[in-house]
Parts: sequence; C-alpha cells; structure tokens
Amino acid sequence: MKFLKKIDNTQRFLIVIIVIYCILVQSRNSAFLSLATLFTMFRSAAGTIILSMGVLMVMISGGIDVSFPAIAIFGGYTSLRICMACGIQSMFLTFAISIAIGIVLGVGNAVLINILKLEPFIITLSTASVYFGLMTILVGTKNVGATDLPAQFKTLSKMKLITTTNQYGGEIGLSVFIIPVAICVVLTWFILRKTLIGKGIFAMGCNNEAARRAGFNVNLLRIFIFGYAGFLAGVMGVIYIAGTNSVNPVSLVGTEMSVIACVVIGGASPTGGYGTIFGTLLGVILYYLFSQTLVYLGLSASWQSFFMGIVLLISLITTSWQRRVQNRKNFIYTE
Amino acid sequence: MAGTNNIVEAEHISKSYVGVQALDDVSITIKEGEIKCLAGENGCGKSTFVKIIAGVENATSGTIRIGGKEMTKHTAKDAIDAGIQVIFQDLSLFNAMSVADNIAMNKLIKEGKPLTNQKEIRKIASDALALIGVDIPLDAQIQELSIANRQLIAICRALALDAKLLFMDEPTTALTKNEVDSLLNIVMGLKKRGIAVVFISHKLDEVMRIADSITVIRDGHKIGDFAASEIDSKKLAYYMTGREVDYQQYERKNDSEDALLEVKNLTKKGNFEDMSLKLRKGDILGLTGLLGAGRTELAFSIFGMNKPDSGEIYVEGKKVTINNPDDAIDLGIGLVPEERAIQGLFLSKSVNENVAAAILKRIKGFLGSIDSNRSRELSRKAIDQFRIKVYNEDTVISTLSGGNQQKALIARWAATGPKIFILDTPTVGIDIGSKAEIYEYIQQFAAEGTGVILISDEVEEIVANCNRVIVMFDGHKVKEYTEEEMKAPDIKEQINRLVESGKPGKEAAQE
Amino acid sequence: MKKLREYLSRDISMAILFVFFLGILLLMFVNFGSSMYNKQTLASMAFQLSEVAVLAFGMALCMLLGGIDLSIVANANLASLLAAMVLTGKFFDIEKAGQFVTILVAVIVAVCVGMICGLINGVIISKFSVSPIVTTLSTMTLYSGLAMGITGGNSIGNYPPAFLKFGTGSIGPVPIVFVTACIVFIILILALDRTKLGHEIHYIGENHTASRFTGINNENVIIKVYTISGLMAGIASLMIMARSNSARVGYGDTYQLQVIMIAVLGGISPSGGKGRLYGVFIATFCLQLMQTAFTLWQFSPYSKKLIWGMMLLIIMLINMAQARISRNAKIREMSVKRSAS
Repeated sequence: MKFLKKIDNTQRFLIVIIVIYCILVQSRNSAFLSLATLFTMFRSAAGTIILSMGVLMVMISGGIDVSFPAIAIFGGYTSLRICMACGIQSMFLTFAISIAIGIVLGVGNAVLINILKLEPFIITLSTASVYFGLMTILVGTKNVGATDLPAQFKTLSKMKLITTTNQYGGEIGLSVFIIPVAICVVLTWFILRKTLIGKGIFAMGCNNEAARRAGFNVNLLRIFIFGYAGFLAGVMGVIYIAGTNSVNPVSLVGTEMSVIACVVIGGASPTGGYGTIFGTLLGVILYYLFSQTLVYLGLSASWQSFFMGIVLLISLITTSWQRRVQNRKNFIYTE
Repeated sequence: MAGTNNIVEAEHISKSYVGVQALDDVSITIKEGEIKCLAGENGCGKSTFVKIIAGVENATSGTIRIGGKEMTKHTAKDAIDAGIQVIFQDLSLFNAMSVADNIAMNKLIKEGKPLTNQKEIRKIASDALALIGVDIPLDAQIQELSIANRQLIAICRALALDAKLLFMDEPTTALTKNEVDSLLNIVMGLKKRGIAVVFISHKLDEVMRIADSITVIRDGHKIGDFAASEIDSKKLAYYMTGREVDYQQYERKNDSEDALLEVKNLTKKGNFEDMSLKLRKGDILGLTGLLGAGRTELAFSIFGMNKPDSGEIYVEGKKVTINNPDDAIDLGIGLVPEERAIQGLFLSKSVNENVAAAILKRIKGFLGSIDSNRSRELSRKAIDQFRIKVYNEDTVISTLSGGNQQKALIARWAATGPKIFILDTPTVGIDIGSKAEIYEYIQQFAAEGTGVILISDEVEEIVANCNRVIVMFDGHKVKEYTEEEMKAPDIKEQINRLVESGKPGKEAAQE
Repeated sequence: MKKLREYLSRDISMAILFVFFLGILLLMFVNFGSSMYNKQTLASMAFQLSEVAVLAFGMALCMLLGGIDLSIVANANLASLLAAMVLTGKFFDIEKAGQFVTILVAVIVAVCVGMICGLINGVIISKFSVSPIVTTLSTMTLYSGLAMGITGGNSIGNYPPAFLKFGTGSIGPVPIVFVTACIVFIILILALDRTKLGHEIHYIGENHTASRFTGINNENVIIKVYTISGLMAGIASLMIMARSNSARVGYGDTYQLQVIMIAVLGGISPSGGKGRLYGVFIATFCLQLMQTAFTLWQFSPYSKKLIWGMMLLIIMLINMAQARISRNAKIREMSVKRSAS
C-alpha cells in the first residue's frame, strides 16, 4: 500500500495495463507466466533498458536525443572490428573502446547544442546521420557472422547466471547481461537521485534560466548528460552485438523511436523536469510484452508499433491535458 | 533598528552598455538590518544597479565595498559568498521539484559537495522555514503552491545561504492584502536578525511604508535618499518622473445615456466575484486596484479570453456570449494587453504587419485575397495619426522605443474602429512624452464616442483620464466613483486610500 | 539586377541560399559538364525532385508555425499503401469498377488518409497542448505501425498502367509530377501571401500569445496547417507510388532528414515565424543537384547520409553566425541613433 502511494498516476496506469494484458495473454497461453518467458524477454530487452536510461536523463534535462542508436552501433561495431583486427580477447578492452567512442560522440552532441543553441532534437537528428555515415566510411558496413565473432562476444552471448527449463524442455537461462544492465540502472538512479549533478539535471529541465542563476554551469551539465548518454550507448553497442550473436551494422539505426516511446510512456515529461526510472522500466516492459506476445492474441508482431503508438498517445494526451487546464487558469497558453 | 555597520557601500557607480549610459555616478549605502526601497520607473537603471551588486554584471567605473571589503570586479559567486541574494520577480524556482529541493538547492551548489543527502536537504529546508516561522510541507511540489508561498520559498532559499542582504524585485505584485501583510511581518523578522532587505519597486505601496529609507533613481541618476516618512505618492511620482504630474481632468461631453457595454453580476471563481459595470459612449471608466485584484481577469472575460462562471454581458443592449477574442472584435471590442512584448507585439515583424494584424478580415480585395496595398495605406495613415516615429511602415517594430511600440499597438486597435476599447496599464515603461500623447489619444477616442475602460495602478493616470472609476479589491468591486464624486478636490487621496486600505468588498462600500 | 541585389541584401539567408545554388550549379558544370546538364538527367532530376519538394512544402508550413511534422513521411507511406491496396483490388473488384473509378477512388483514399493523419496531428497539438515534436514522433510510430500491421512489411505493386502515367509521363519535356509540384507550389505561395490563413500562420509562428490577443484563432489555424501538411503527404504518396510502381513500409525513410534540411536551407527558421516558400523550392533544387552528383560519383547511401547531416549542421551554424552579425549590426545602428538624438 505504501508502495502504491509512492508511485505516480502514470505508473499506476501502466501497472494496471500490464497486469490486465498479462492475464489476457495467460488465458490464451498457459505457459506465458514463467521464468523462461521472463528470461527470454529480459535478454531481448537488455539493450533497450540501457539506452532508455540515457534517453530518460536527456529528457529530464529538457531535451530529446535521437542519435543514440547511431552512437551505439558506432561504438559496438568499431570495437568489434578493432578486436577482430588486433586479436583482442579482453572483455574489458572491448567495452572500453566502445564506451570511449560513445562518450566522445555524446559530448560532440552537447557541444553542438551549446554552440548552436537550437532544439537538441534537430541537432541530434543531424549528428545521427553524421555519426552513422562516418562509421560506414571509417569502419565499413561488412556483416560479421556468428562464427567470426571474437571469443569475448561469444562468451557474453552464451553466459548465463541461472537456468530454468521452458515448456518444451529446452534450457533457458538468465543472461549475464543482467550485470551491465543492473549497473547502468543503479548508476543512473544514483546520479539522478543522490548527486548534485542529478539535482542540476532536474533543475535544468524545470527552468534552464533559473538553474543558471542558481549557479549551475548549464553547458557543462549538458556535456555530462550527453556524455553519459553516449557512455550508455557504448555499453549497449557491445551488448547488442553479443545479443544478436552476429552483426549487420545498419540494423540498429531507426530504433530510436521505440526507446523514446518507452521513456515517454513511462511518464517522463517531454518538456523536461520530471521522469522516473521505475516508470521507464515499466514502459520497456510494456514494449516487449507487445513485441513478444501479440502472437498469442492472434495478431502478428507487426502490429507492435501500432499498439505502442496508441498507448504513447494516450499517456501523452492525458498528462498534457492536465497541465493545459492548469496553465489556462493562469492565462498561460501553450496551444 | 538599523545597525551602524554598512553591508554594501557602492560609490560613484557608472555603467554603460554600447552607447547607452544605464547608470551614471550612483552612490548607495546599505546598512545592516536596514529596509530600503529602490524606486524608479521601468528602465531607469534600478535593476542594472542590482545586477552590479549581485555580480551578474560589472560596473564600468566606481567602487563597491561589501562587508568593508573592496570588490569591484566581483562575480555572482563572490556576491553570494558575501551574503548577497537576489529574489527575481519570476522567483526562479523549479516548479516540478519539491519544496525541500528548492530551498536547499543554492546551498548545495555553494557547498559543492558532489553527493547529496536527502536527510541533510530536508534539514536545511526545515531550518530555513523555521527561521521565518511558516509551515509548508517539504515534499510538496512548487507548482502545487500559491504564489505567496512560492515567494516564501524563494526567501527561505536565500536564508539557507545565510543571506545578509536580500534584494526583492517587485515582491508584492501578485499577492493579496493578507499575503502582503504576512510577507511584511516576515521581513520585519529578518530585520531583527540584522538582515538587510532592499525592495525594488516602481510605485508607492505598503512595502514602502515599512522601509527605513527610499532611494529614487531616474534615467541612471540617483535623485536622492529620503526617509519613508517624508515622502508621499505625489512627491514620489515627481521624483521618479522628474515632472509635476498635473494633467487636465477629462470631462465627458457626450449626453447619450444608453449603455454601450453592460456587465451584470459577472463571476469567475478565483478571479472576481459579482462584478457589474456600465459603460456609455464617451465614458472613460477607470478600473484600479492592487495587482491581483481581478482587473485584468475581468477585462479578459469581456474580451472572450476568460470564460465567466456566471453573469451576463450586454453590448448595446443585446445579451452576448463572447467565446474568443474574434467574437469580441466582431462586437467592436478592442484590448491593448498589459504585457506589451509578450501579449501584444510581433517583435521581428514590421510596423505595417503589426498594425494590420487585427483587421485581416477587413482588408480583403480581389477574390477575397488580402490587399497589401490597403494595409500599407492604413499603416501609413496610422503612423501619421499617432505620430509613430519610424523611417517607414516596413521598419521592424523591435527597433522602436517602448512609447512608439505602444502607439503602434493602439493604432492596431484603432484600425478596427472599436466601440469599446480596453487598455490594460498602457503606459508602463513608457517615457513621459509618449505617455502624454497616449492620454491625448485615449481622450480623443472617448470624445469621438468610443467607450474606454482604462486599467491602471497609477492613481494619477486614473484621475487625469477617467470620468468614472471602479476600485477593485480581491476580486470584488469596493466602490464606484460617479462623475460628481470624481470632481472632489481630494479625489486622488480618496482613491489612494481605498486602493491601499484593503478592506474587503462590502464593509468598505458601506463606509 | 539592381532590384534583385537590393532584395537580397535585405534577406541575408536568401542571399546565402542563392549564392549556394549558383555555386553548386557551377561546380556540377565544371565537374560533369554535359553529362550533368543534358535533357535526360534534367528530366530524371525533375521526376525525383517533385515528391521531395511537396513533402518539404508540408514540413515548411509546419515550421513556419513554429512546429514540425515528423510524421509526414510515415503519413505518406500509410496513404500510399492504402491507395495501393485500392489499386490492386484488395478492397473491391477493380475489373468490375473499371480503371477510371479505381484510380479515382485510390486518389481520394490517398488524399483523405493523408489529410486525416494530418488532422489527428493538428488536434493533438492544438487541443491537448502536446508539443509538436513529441506529437508527430508518436504519430510517426502510430502511422508506420499501422502500415506495418496491415501489410506485415510486404510491398504492394503492379498498378494499372493509366495510373503509372502520372508518375512516368511528361507534358512535352516536363514530367507530370513536376508540373503538379509547381501547381502546388504556386497555390501555396498565393495562399501564404494573399489569404487570411497565410498571414495568420506568420503571426502565430512569430508570437502565438500575441496572435491570440489579436483575435486569431490559433487552434483552428494549427489544425488547418497540419491538415494541409497531411494533404501534401497524400499528394507525395501518389507521386511516389506512380513513379516506383510499388508501395512498401519504410519507403523514403531518408526523406525525413532531407525534408527538414530543405526547409532549414530554404530559410525557414526552426523556431518559427520566418521564411519563404520559394526558398524551400530553390533549396529542393540544390539538394536534387547534389543528389544527382552523388549518384554520378557513385556515393554509397551511407556517405550521402553523412553529407546530408553535415550540411544541416553547417547551415544551422551559418544561420547562427548570420543572426549574430545582424544582431550586432542592429545594436550598433541603435546606439548610433541614440547618441545622435
């Protein structure tokens, strides 16, 4: 009960939807509610969870980033190709290269926004193309199949922490991805809730000018935020490659919308200043529920983004409407 | 009482921007525990002075000593470290964050500890709230609080940083009488602790009455320091504007008794209650009262921007429902809004485009297309008629002075040929010359048969231009002065007293 | 010539665009000579340019209003898929209805779907105060999700030959689609310049609070503009279908960035209120010239993407620098006036 009081309306709404949907699916397929389903779903959601943390932070600060898939694939793919070329087998180095690239590109976004003083959306839209194009020129676009992957990717792909069996008797395990995912989520929570930087991020999203007057260096904060989003994208890039167990470097681009959708559905305010990690996780859960279980309801998986779009619009409309009514009382017009 | 130690000694401060002398040789001393009022018209340089003391900008010349230490080219951080805090008019709070976070934020930044601790934050906040003796839930979000409570949060935020000197920019504008009283009590409490408070204000109100001294600035020059007791509103107006304000009182010549506009028992919860008024041809009806008394809200309701809960509006005897400004314009109602830059002007558009904005419907020519020649012709006429100083009608309006911008806005509405013309504080931030011209135009409109409603908090302006006046307080009509009553010799004092006395509706009306 | 110079000096971003355009023309000529400027290449450019231009007009209108329509390409996609289903007899027997009726129905379907999608955007933005970026990002997911759900990702092709004429035929040497784009352009230019709606768009883009206080019904204008933007998507969808003889989810994904870039290059300020449509048309030509050059140079689609992204950034940098220069000039001018008076 105390928990229900602590969470906000959006989260309650999401929990209700998720529970109802799960019951619906369970009634069609009794094997649905099981550890095996959970583990499978987690494995495919791992990358999205990591990316969503970055999007959440950017959105709380009042911006939107659409360049993170390009950064992720830039980091992951470059790291892979370097490892292949130099025969590096170290897990640490693999991540380090990808993360370093991610941070550099993320900081690049922030610097451009600071200079141009334009909507982050339009800037990250351009840098997404630039980064991706740059990668294809510098590194190439060659597909890498499962057999050619360096050992550390294979290990990452196969390693499991706990195993269980699915309805057909196959062995399904909780992927080792849980470790980086947990680290990223906890780190994001820690930054947002326990540090001065976190306070600054919220402050900036509420009122950029007031944050500046209060003594925050807003430009520096932005560099941190986008740098951190780049860092997460770097981590995700490696996990993505390990997860798919092969890589087609043009595949990830275009997925930015689904991650942003998860974050917005999770209740983060697109205008900044508000957002929760728990809500975002609920958004991701809903997304993967739709993507993996629509089949049980007799619909093909192609309907997934349609349903996501509907939930997204409903949650946007309800929260915006409340704010609009409030604003109108004070003669603030936001259209 | 004010102590003997000076917190700030600013000597011979001058500040010039590109080609503009914002401050010229201004010297001001602020003592420990002193309550000072910095008065002057908009754009006189008082905010520049505050910015210089607060280290947001640096003076071109002059010396500043804070706590006895000379710090001429100091930064905002230096000023904060020395105990100087500014509460801006917009309060600069973080609306979606909690009370505790807001109060503690500046202290956390100052201390610069990379990690924050929720317990510590709450302690900072509750300590600061205890200092001024108010109780506001620490977990509430700022957007859930009233404006008065937000003001208090901003004060607490400053106190949490051990402020020794607090600048408050127009702190009472949006507060009700009771809220102002409790704010002033808190300020008196601060004074006892030795904290100096400087109010920045452009009019004489209750804030000035608790001040120990008043410093008047005009056109970047200091006019003088005065004891609060030796100054009244007329003198203050004289010092602020540099002119004996003595305009001819307007007299209505029209003898039609038919109501152009009649408002009956109009109520909008939280804005105003049971408002009735009648406007005839040639009337200039003054609507005054403290900010937040419901004047602007009432005007918005007549203009279709604030749907009333109950009550009726009649235009020329016919009952009307006005759903949006477009309806209002069709009925012949025009409104020059209060916030010129935000609500009125299209800043990067030309004078022509600004003047023609409200009459797009009427300048249709061939096949219903907009006839740009007619709009130009009209703008040129308006520029002549209202003596707007521009090169031609294609000049971008943002390059004009405040007075000329306002005249262009009046021209926009004059072009619609309004029968009922509402002007909301039309002379704020406008030089004396343009002010007199605007009065002339207003009276001219009325003489030609328009009914004018003039909203203003300058009693001088109201008395000079209006033949009838309604005083509002806290959403109620306190009193309506008739044409006869307006001729009383002490009318200014009467209205002034009524505006400031703040007795709620019916009691004051019975007096 | 003197008049032109005078005009360009007043509108610096137009001047930059003009110089840029001439520069590209010249560069192409030096590089390719007649392999670029022959009848065939020009005609093929006119074919490709038309659909992008129409989409860019829709985007430009929304940006003039201070908004953006990110769903425009997804919208065009959905419209073309539904129209394609009509043309290939998924809804009714085309043999019985005859070619003319089928094509007519398909055109109506494409246009209506486009306009309804636009209308939905407009209503969400104006009546629920959701910001345009987020609204149209969401409806982009919704529209492409719907298209994906209906088709399962398969393409639908093989339309009646009479319909393909619209995409491949010419009037004299000029492609029909190009003529269509020009007609749309002229109508929009006249509408922006001469109608109440056109003027209202500029006012709202400049200051939406002031426009409200001036009696402009912001909400209606916003709904109208996004519906027009949807109409542009509908028209473009017909061009795309008729030209490529197929419709598929995800067709024209690269248009998204291009269309925004054309609008910005054409002088439409991303923050609203400023810009002219003919700038957008010229910008479309610039882009198509470059596109053709890239094809002649055999650039990969990825390097094209890189160049588009870089260009958008560079244009914004130039615009910023130019705004700063003109602001400084204004301050100087004002201070001169002050000291004179």
